[in-house]
Amino acid sequence: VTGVQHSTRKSPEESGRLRVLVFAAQIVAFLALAYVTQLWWLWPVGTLILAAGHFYAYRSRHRRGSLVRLGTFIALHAAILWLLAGIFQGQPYPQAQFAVIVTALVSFELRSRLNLYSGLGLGLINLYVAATLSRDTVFGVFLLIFLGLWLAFLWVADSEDATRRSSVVIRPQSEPDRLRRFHLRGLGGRMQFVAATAIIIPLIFLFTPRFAGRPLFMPISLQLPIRSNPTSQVINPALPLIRLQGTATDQPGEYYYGFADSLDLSYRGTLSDTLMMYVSSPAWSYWRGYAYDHYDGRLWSQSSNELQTIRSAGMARFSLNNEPADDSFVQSFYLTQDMPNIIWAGGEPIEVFFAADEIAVDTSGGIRIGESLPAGTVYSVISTRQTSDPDELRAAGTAVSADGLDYLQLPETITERTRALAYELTADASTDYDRVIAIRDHLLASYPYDFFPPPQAPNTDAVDQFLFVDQRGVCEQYVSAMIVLLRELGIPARFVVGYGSGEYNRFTGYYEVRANDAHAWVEVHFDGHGWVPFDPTPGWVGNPETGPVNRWVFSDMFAGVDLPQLPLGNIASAGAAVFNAAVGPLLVVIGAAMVGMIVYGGRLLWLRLDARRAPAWIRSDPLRRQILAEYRRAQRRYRARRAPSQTVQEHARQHPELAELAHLVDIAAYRPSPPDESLLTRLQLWRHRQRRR
Amino acid sequence: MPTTRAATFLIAAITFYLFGNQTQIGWLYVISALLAGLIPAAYWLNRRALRGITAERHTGGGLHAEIHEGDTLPIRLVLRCGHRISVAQLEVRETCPLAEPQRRVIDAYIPLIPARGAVQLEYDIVADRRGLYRFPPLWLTSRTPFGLFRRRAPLDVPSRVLVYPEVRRLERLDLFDRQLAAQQVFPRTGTGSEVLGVRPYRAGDSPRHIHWRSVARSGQLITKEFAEETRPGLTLILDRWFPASNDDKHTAFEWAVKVAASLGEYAQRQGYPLHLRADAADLPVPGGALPTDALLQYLARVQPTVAPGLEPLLTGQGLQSFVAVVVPWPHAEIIEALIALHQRGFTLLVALLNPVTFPNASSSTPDAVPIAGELKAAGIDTLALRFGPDWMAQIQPDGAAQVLERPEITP
Repeated sequence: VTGVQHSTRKSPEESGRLRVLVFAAQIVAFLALAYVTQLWWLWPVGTLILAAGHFYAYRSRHRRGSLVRLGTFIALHAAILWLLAGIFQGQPYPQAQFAVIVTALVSFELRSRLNLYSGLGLGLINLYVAATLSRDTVFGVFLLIFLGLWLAFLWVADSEDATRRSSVVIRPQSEPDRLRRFHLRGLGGRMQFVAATAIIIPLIFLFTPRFAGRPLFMPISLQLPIRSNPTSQVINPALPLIRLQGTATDQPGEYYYGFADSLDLSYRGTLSDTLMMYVSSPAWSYWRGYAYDHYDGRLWSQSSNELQTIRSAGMARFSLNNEPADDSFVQSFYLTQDMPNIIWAGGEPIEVFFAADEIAVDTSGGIRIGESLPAGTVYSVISTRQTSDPDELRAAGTAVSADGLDYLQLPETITERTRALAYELTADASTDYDRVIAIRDHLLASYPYDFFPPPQAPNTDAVDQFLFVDQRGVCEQYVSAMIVLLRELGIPARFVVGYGSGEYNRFTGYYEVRANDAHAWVEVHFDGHGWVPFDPTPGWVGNPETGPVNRWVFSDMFAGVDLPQLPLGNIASAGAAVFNAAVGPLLVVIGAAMVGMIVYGGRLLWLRLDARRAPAWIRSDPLRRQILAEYRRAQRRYRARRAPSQTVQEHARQHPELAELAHLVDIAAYRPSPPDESLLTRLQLWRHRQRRR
Repeated sequence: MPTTRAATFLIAAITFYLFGNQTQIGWLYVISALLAGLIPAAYWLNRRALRGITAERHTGGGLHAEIHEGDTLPIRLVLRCGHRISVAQLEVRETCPLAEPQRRVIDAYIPLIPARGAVQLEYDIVADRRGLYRFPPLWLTSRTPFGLFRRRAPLDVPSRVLVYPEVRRLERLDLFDRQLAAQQVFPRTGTGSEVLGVRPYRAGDSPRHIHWRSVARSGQLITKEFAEETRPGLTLILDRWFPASNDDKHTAFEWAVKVAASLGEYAQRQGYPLHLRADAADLPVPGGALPTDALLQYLARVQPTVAPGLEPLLTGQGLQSFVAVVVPWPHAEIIEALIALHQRGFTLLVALLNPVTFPNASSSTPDAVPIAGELKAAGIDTLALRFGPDWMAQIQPDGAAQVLERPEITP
């Protein structure tokens, strides 16, 4: 039977096991951050500081450690400055560095149980930062380890608390020593718990509705902005190299040669598996770049260099001319490689959030900026879904675009058999939409995909060679053929380049877009519906209109099922509007409150310092000062602070260990004559005894 | 019942969910689901945490015990898990009602009861005060797993302990000895109510006194033989009226019970029939000549009453020639009745507890000394016993009986 020990969450934490578990959990969080950012130095540096912090905090758990606390306070503010500098100077992942530094610094203050909980909370925040940067499922391993350590912490904490609360601990006689030590055995049906969580957690994950509205804060890079004026020229960071590779080599490249001012159908080559960007989007889509409208038999180009410049509407927000629609969705692009000066976007963009002074829209709806985009750039786009009903398209028919460009242009090189094929394929089609579908389906069904079609023969039409000679090719051959056939029938069409959707990772929520996702497809102009995308390339999506906005993790699996739509987007948008309206006054109030707190804190500090200042006649004597300083130190050491209403002797009666020193203090403070040598000797004796104790 | 920890988990899950919504980062939904999923899983498991637990309590070797005040009683509490799933992190609150107040509650922590296994808690308790004690239910508390929920339930483990009052062995009591010295101490047959033995049936014996068990055993008529009660015996009268609080261990009433037990035991040891009289309003008083254990069983249970009830007992009807009266709360009204009894020829010993000498006495607490003085003046042997460890010496002033032994009690 042991005595019941009373302790609070703010009492010094004596448990070494709990500290080890917190330390381990924080290390795992550091490791997760180092892994997702690939800043491997973060882990050893953070762990070293963390270990020092934990060691110090454990050793000094009964002391105040004012100096170290002050140092920690200063270091934390330095870390904030480091974070701000990192954000605006373009350091890699400043938020991750900040999270690690703060967690490591705060570990010097992990004295109580409450502090340990805070330490775990900081570890969780580290994981949060890592989660925002994670692009693969390896993060799940760190997450599970962290959670396991957290639960182990709770288990051990409960066990130790119960032991402390109880006057007796009863253990089964047969319990092995090693299990008794860790108390981890017998989780009360641990297998059942594992089974329950294995069922419940995925269920919650699956049936948690997902927000697809406009978030309060759009993810964008702050280390830009791009000051250059937008240009009509497409600046592809690796285009010269690609052109060499593209003609005669089977070495895969990373940049599609279509991302340029013109696209030469005679180029050949493959693209690598290099990850180009991650796209976070609640809706499936192709990520569109821009469109070519002019074809000369071998080369696609844009017939107009006109750009419509758009200036920022504030907070890096650019409003495009498209009318907003109800089913808009937000996409965020995280570039992992240098990219051309093109802002990729799914659907029909309404707003762009990008750190630049101005952006521009070309005649094909492509969004341009002044410079190529460096890896690490983040921007967001709000778009409406690009979707239409086949019956409506049939009824509407096609029409000439209002932008004044000739989308029916055909070169002289078009052969008669090409023209004849267009009519032959659409002989049974009664509407333009049916003709489009007939041609697309013919290309999908009749021509196998081949990364390396034979070289383009001199003085031949690329479309003719594809349709009748090679009868295989890559996306640009399919697209060119479809456009030529459509234009021959008087249907306006254009050649679009961009990226396919990429592979969707349900855990991370990102589309992983690789170099070989670079793609070309067709847009056909329908009366009243604008440009509608079609894809004639086998292995891709024939109708690449924007998918439904997913409000559940597996929404796409139930695309044909009429699931109830939760109006969360609207609610959140309303909340966002309220927040935006309130954010200004709120910031003022918060700022005023912070100033008030600083002033109040400063006043408290001043009063405290002033109260500690002894009268001048005491301060003038060094021995009196020594005695009073020793008295203050002893109060801290014994955690026996004297109340303002107490006399020194009253205080000493409460704390007999201070009685001798209190006597010295009385003499030093109240005897008119200065202290003599005997008093100094007694003070030294007191100190000596304290040291021995 | 959810704990603040469960609320924290829920808030964290919602926070991560909102951040997931805002950032469209799938991992945040995963973290949110992990945190939120632990709550129902923990609830489900916590609901079953106390199932299948049974307990037995062994007091001094059996389920029930009888001991004396001040004796040490070993108690063994066995908790079993009848499930095929072990029980973990179990907190047990055992309340031992016969222990002194500050030691009454024992909080025990059981990290693990193995599946279909048991653990046991053994402890010794010093019986603090006489009485019949029934153990209240055990309170079982479990926060497993991970402290998100707390389940608390009582577990009834019936056990009973009868604690007899403290009995001090008087070696000599002059007042008794003087009055009873000439009396025949050996029992004689007669027409009393105390059974002395059996004998063959004789014509004229009452058929109601036939001892049928002996008849069956011997095949002849056997009848019970009763003691001759015409000789003087002792009637012990306990005044139960005690208008003050009796919550404390050291009250005049409790001490009156001790005095009564010691006097009764002494008289029994001397071989005199003992009769007990007390207010029988709520607790029947055993009739006839009592053995010591019957006296102690009554005294273990007796509690004070709120209304005076001594005078009706002093009418003289049914009393033995020698009467010992123990009064925990002396008051002037009893003087007349006692003197009247004395004048009718009864030999009286009056033991007045002096409440004013006891702890927690107030200004309204009566002083027994003046009453004792009046009784003594009337020729009644009277003791005014004050609070203190020397109350035995006050009964037998020569100090020869400081031996504190307890008689053997047959349960």
